[in-house]
Amino acid sequence: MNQQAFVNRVRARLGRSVADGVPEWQPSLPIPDPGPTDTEALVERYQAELVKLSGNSYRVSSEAEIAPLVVRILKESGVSGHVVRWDDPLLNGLGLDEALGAAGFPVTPVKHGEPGRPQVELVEQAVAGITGADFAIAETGTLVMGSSRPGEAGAPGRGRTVSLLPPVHIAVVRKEQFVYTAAQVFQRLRQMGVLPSQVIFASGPSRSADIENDLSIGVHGPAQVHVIII
Amino acid sequence: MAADPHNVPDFKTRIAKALGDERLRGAVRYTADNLRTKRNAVVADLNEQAAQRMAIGSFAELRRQARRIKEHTLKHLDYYLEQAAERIRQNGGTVHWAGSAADVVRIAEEIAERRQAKRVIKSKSMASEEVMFNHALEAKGVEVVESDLGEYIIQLAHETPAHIVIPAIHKTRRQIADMFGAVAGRELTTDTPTLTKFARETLRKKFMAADIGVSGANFLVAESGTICLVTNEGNGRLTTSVPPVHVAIVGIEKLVPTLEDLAVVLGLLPRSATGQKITTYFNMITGPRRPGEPDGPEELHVIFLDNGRTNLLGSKYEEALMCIRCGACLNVCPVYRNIGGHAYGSIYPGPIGSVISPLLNDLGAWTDLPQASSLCGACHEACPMGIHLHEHLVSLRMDTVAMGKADPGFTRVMKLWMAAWRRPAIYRMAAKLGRVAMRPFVKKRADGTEVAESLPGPFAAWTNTRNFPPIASRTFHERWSDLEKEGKR
Repeated sequence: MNQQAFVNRVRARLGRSVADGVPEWQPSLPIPDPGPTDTEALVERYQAELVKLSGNSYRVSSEAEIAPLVVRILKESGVSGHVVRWDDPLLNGLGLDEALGAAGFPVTPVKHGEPGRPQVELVEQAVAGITGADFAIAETGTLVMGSSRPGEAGAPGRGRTVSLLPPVHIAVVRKEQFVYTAAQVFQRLRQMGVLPSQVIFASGPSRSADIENDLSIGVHGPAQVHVIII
Repeated sequence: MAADPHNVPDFKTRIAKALGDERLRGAVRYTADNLRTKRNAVVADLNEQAAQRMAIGSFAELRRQARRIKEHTLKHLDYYLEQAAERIRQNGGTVHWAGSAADVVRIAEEIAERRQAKRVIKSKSMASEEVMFNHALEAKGVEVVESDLGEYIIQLAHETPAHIVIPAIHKTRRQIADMFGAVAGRELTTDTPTLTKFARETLRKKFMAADIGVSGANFLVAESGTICLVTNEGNGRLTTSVPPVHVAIVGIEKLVPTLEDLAVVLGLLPRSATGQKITTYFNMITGPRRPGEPDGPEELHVIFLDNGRTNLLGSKYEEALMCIRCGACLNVCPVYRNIGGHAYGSIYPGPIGSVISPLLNDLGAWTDLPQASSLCGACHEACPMGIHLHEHLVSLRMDTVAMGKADPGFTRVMKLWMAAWRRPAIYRMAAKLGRVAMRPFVKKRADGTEVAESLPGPFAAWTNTRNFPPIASRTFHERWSDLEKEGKR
């Protein structure tokens, strides 16, 4: 069936033989912009929600504290092996590669992909994935991560799998990235115009209740989620 | 999976089988209660938050808004389909149009053939169940593996989902450990971490080796051509990120106009389905991998699916296209809770299944399903979209009669019933007679209530599966006339 025939069938059921122009539509919410706007309140609420989902969060006051904290988290996770990270301005310049390398966790930043099977194999073998985030949603303890920078057509080294395939996901978020609701994120994505090829909203570690309604963590996605807030 | 009722035993046989399976019934009830309790708690919490302006709206307000969105989209579906198709192509995706289930299969086969694909990995998709996707592709020699833990269990057991949201509710951990053990070639313990770890490792290999990932869609944003998936396990993300090709099967009712509309529908779906404020993952896919991106599929195909959906468009049943497949109506339905999903014999069970299965396919072949309801309206109350399911069920029954497809014996009894009940004298006489005739069969329970657990003759059809309350010792008519005599009105 081609598009014309398919749409014509729909149109006929709607009682039209030709298109009737662009419909008037105004998205709206019963309560626009609810919740606090104060950053401190947003961060606290986010942390409270993430704990409920079995995720961990940490607060640091300077960028210098991040690399040692990541080393500590990895050592406490009991994993050993190589780590992958976004090759992104959000993470570059934090000294992660040196600090982790010295602690026995060699870091590979994912690069611009080559054609074929780019770097998925490498990411899959990693013990942890380190990413930044574009937004953090306080109401639900959610991180929002684009596969490229939202609003920019170019795509540096981010991709879809760094926060997904390794068993441990560590994210670095900045205070000014916090909003209260998912609705605010959808509004901003809409204003930006160019969407990344994938935007993921992730709330805590992967979960399932498919075996006798018993909660199991880390079925396909990461079993541990650590969020560092600057 | 059998979508053709002629391939399955008749409805009464299926019901009898389900009612005889105590373990299935226990599991269904336990899961339904669990989901219902969680949903009620999360809805109460939302209402409380909204009252303090700490959420985007109360449940009732979100429901009103969601209906507004879907009503508008359905009214202009031709426009939004064309807009979505254009955007998907601009994003680098390919759009296909499937009028029927066979079209979906043919399109998928063509893609597989062109890619010389031998291995398909799937995330959970009711639309793919509806078109019997796995069966068709396996017949062509393509391996299809379900990656949702529940669906994977069901696939190993060669069964169909018993619940829209939690497919393997009727399987015990012992059975699951045995099935996984058979795949592993070794004995597995029955604890959840062991079983989860096995599934993760086994399916991870399948993901890495897959040529094509197949998903459904929970929403599709027309203005940006964005496919949205709501998942908890992460298999939906893997399916759409790891294999070189992603194929999404999208029912035409999944469209919403703008990105901002997602806030409302996303506020309703996880809360209604699993009692979560949000699922672990909400995945928005706008096109395949872009030049320079380190991962993601090289090709994205969107298959728009009609398969009977346009039968509902512009009809009195149009509202049923608002369904977001959350399963809330199943969890509250007294019929579903007693017979589980399999007995319906259709892809979509429960109240929503009883409404859409006849409409998507052929009412003549599915006349049993609209009868399988007590019309109590609990489904309508639970539905996040406020679909008037009970009214549609009555309407379908009327259509059944109008088609001349009703059970003739049943129709005769109903006509007699109607004739008798129109005459007050006969009605009162029957109540008196019934009261006396029922006496020998009425038992007193421990809590003091009285009930008839089995009745003779034609009444046995009722008491085989249900208890019958005894006729009151003083009917309302009698009490009313007593009151009149006492002048207490």
